[in-house]
Amino acid sequence: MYSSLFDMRAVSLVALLVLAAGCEEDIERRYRFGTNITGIQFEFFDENEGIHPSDVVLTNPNNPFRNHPIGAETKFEILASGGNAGAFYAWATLLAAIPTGEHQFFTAVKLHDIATSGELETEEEVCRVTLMAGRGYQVVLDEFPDSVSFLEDGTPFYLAPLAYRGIESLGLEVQGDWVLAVDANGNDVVTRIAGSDTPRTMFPPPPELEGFDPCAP
Amino acid sequence: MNPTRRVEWLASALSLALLCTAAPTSAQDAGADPDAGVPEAPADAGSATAEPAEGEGEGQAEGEGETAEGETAEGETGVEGDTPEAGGDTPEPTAGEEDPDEESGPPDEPSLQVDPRIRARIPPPGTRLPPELQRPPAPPPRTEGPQRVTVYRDDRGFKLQVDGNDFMVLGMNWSYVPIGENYSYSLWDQSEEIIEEALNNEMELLRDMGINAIRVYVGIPQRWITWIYQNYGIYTILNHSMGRYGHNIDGVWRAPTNYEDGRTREVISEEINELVEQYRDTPGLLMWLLGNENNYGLFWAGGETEDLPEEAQGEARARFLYSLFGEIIDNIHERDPNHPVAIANGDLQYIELIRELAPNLDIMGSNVYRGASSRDLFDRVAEVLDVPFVYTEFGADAWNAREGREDDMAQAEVDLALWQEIFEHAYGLGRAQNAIGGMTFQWSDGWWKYRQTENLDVHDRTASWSNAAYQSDYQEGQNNMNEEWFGICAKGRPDSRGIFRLYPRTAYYVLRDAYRLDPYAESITLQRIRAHFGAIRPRDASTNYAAAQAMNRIDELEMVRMAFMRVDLDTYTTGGSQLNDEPRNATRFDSTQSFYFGFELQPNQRMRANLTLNVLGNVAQNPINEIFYENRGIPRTFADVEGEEVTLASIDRIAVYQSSFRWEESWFQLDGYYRVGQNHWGYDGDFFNLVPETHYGPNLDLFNAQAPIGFTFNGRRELEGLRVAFGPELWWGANPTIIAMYHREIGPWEFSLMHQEDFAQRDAGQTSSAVPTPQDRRTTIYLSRTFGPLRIEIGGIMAGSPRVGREYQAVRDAPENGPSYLGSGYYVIDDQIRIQDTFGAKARIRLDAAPFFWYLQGGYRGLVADGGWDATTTITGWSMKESGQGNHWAVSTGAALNIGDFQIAPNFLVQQPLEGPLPQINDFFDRATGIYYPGLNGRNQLQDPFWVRSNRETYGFELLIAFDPTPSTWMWAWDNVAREDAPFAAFLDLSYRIHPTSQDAGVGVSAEGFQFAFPTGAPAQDLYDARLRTVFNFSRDVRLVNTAYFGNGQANGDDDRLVFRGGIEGRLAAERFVLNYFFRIGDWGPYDYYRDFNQTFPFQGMVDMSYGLVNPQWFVSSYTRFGVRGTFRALDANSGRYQPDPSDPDALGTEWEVRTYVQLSL
Repeated sequence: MYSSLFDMRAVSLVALLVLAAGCEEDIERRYRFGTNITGIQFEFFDENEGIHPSDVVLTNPNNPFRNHPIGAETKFEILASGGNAGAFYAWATLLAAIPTGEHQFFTAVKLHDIATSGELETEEEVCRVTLMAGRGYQVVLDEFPDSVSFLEDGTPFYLAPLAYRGIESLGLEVQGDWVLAVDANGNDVVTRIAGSDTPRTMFPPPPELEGFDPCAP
Repeated sequence: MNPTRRVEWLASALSLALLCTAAPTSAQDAGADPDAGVPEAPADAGSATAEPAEGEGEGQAEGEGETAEGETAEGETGVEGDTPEAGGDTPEPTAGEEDPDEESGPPDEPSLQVDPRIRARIPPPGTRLPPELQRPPAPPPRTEGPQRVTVYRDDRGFKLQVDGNDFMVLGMNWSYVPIGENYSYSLWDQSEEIIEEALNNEMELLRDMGINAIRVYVGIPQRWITWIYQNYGIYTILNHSMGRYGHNIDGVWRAPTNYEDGRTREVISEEINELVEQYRDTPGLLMWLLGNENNYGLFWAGGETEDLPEEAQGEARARFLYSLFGEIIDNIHERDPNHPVAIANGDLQYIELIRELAPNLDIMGSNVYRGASSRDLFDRVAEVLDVPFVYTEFGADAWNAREGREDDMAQAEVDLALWQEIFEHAYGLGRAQNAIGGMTFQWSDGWWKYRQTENLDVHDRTASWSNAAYQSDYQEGQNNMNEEWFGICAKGRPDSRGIFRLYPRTAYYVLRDAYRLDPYAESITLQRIRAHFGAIRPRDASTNYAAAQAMNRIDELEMVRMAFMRVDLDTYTTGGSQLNDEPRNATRFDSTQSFYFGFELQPNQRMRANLTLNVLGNVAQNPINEIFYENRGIPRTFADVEGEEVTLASIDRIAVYQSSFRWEESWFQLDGYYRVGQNHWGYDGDFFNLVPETHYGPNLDLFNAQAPIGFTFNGRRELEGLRVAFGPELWWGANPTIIAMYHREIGPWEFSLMHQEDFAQRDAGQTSSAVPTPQDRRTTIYLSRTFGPLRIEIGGIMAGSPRVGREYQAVRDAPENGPSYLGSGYYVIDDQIRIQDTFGAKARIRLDAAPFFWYLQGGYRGLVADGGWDATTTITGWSMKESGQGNHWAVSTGAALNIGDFQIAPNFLVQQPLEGPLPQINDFFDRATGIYYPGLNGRNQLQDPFWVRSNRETYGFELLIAFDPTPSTWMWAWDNVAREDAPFAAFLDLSYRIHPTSQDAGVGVSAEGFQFAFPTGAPAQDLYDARLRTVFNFSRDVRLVNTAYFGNGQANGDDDRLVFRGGIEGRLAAERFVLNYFFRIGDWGPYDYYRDFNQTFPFQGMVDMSYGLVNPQWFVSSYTRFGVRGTFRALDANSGRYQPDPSDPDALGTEWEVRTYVQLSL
């Protein structure tokens, strides 16, 4: 009896598999020609998109780069001429794949541009993207404080002071014990005040802000 | 049981064991002359009488009661001398009573100081027989010339006579196989010292039991036949199997044996003729025995009989078998007039054919398993054949499959009843009068018999066949015959030389008592036989075995015991030049101490568990191979909450090295394991290899892997064929998963259904060969059937359904000089995984027409229909097989031809991915139009739903040539380096693979433990490989194994440099001295990352010499020894740590290590 039972189960399972094979929706195969990325619009998808360590940007269907490798030169061309939304998706995709301070900084820069360029339709969206940009800058300070980028002639520059000023220019307050100072050469530097117990990062939000939505209409 | 009583019981058991095993096996044997052959039975052996025993004996005695009364038990077989008791009324001594005979005992017994309460429990030492019924002592052994063994017959029946003396065959099926070995072990290949010690242990027990003949297969040297006879009075029945399990015909192993084939008949016949001419004058040889149930193996393919209707094939083939028996019997008679010839038939099948085709047979022998009575067997032989009968095998196993416990009582009762039947049917007693004895099956448990090559050190309790005649454990529809439990003696574990101790079961003692009766005594009658056997009480004798078991298991009875301890003490002296890690250039010294403690837990007989802990002392920081098991304990530096660096010097000092358990019930077996290798399921119906082999060898320790870890459930009885494995990492790099398989045979079909469901996605692997695959769901079905020499297998797979809908890219060739994507020459396609991409199928046909073998295999796998690597052997040891991955179709075919001692085996493979690898195309952003053209990189296992790696386009040819004079241990078998028994054997494996296209990207693991995908994979490249392995057995204890190789190879990563490499590695074992070595040129280093990053060394060499306390076993790397190992590497720009010298750019770097080690394995 047991053996017949098992046999019946086996037959049923195989039948199910065969039926399942016939239940497929039609999927289109597409030849690739390229995408106009300057024309795409930013659409709010997730409040952590473009903020390390989130990789949610890889699942955003509006992201034209989510399945593609982006070349080391191309990324700067997109940064310069790809439009704010296009460049944001490109750099956020790079950040998700290869977390570096440079990728985080320019992702935050593009969020900053999106928030301040007037391309967002509602005040709520502007508020949310502004906060995202601020958190992106803050991550540069907290996680990649020594990161540098390079000018076209190869001159390096630190990103943390720029991130610090970025937060300020958004009208937000730098979190944690970071302070902006000037070194002996007159260059901006950011440094920490030892012993401060201020929360270091805005991601995730500090406990006292949990549940608080500053952008709610 | 309170503690005090428990201690008393143990003391009693120990004392009994000492009495029964350390001393001669019973009181009355203690004074026997060891040189006197079969010992003389005592004149007065204690208090037992002819009282009918319980059960069968009692019933039989009652059945003859009226006849017996007045002339049997009371008068003659009853009490002797002045013992007051009478016959059946004699009371058995009970605890607390003292028997005066027992008290006096033989002179050397009182020194044992046995507690009187224990003495009272000693079983009665046998029935009290009047002298005229006692088996007479054997005549003194002859020193020269053969015995004259004849079959005597008159109108009172048959009996065997040796040099004119009546001789009942009180025989035993005997062989010597230590636990952990199987049929390939031969005692006769051991040193003379070991053979003598083993034979002394075994033959003393056999002689004391009363055994006067052993059945032994050919292979036993003449001198040992004589030695056994002259030292113990035991004769040898020399058995040639006549190709029962196959035969070597002109150097080709043919199984099953085709008795229809003229050449086969000729070879077997000639072989036996030579055997007879060589052995016929051997003192101690009793008779020739031919075959072993050969009538159960008449399944050869081909020949005229194959064309007959199936129901007629059996008898037609049997005619060929028995006519060959007849011819060989006549041949033996021509050559040897002194020894009779018997056959070992399977029961009485084809008995009429035997009469017709083997008319000159001297003795009919049969293997008979009819339970406690063979019923009409003797009468049937008397009716059809005019010859005497001897059992060549019979008996019972000692495992109760129904209740899941050892049952030595049931075995003893069956054996005793069967021997009573033999005695009753002997000469002159009025029944069949043709019984001349038997050979009980068998002397000691064969731990190898179930599955034969697996679990050789496990006393398997799986019943493998069903027999309703054994009622004590028979259940309809269930197997009840346990092949590994037929021993008259249980078997202890061997020492390093293969010497083990035996623990006689109850059957030993009852048969010992039974054999004291002389069946040919003048005054013997049926009634006296029945009274004698009826007085033997297995239950009393079982105390002896209980005591022996207590001794055997006294440690195991402890809930937890320390099973072993191992101490590794290593020193490392290292240095080098031109190394980019500056400290490595200096000569440095360091040491490692590593300790292993093994614990065994056995809460009861159904559960056993093992745990091994590793404890670290100091861990050397300078070994040139920086990844090793103990390196978990090297000092590490962390940042504290303040950001300050803190170095921890003593971390991870204790770790669980291995653990496993086995829980056995009558309806299941549950195994749990942690870092203990498991076998694949490929031979049990896993046609798509979902479950891989997990015997990782040293790699597991090198990377400190935590796998395999999980549980495997094997169903029994109603659940037979059901197997379920579940665990967080069933194999290295596996996702948490559950796999279930149901496998069974339905008529001629073999069928299996499997399903695997991953529960989660594992984050990262420790090395590139253990990178987790995407979370999966897989279902397979398999069907196979044999048609004569053809075996057909088909299967289907559905896998990768969680990946349906995932996007992927593919390319198509663009028209030449036409437009293409970014001028790459390709069109690029964006697509998604569909449900049909999850399906695959495979089929295989195998032809087994020895000496020619052939197979054809074809498979199709959808893009994500991933299975696993095929670890099974198809025909021979080819290395080239189709990929187990999805995304390909493949056809392969190969053939093997055995010519003499050679095997020549070509093999071909054509394999094509359905979607080829992606070319590398750089992305492009057109500032003018704002259009972004994404680039392409090779697909990889981390980000894409499928990829092209082992399933790359291949047109492959392989040629394997093996030379092996002992083809039952073929050179290509995985364990051949340990088991090859030929003086010289070799195999050469040549392969050439054409790869017209590249691979997708591989996955690497960084030094920090992060896994990443390389941007591209290996380019198109044809690859070749040659491998030659040789085994020399210069003598029994001197073995040299070498493997030489040469070929080219590609990196796993994106480096496109082609590597040309070659080398030789080997091992010389000369008794306790071992030399290991390798020399490699241009090869990768020892870890995966060397190949991932294409890091090679111009030269690598290693020489390791050690001397052990015992002879090493081939696959056991840890035993007591000391040794020294030297390792040297030359480095160039392709070697990872190389630092070029600007003043001499061509100078090579060096890296060396001298390691001394002492291993103590206790």
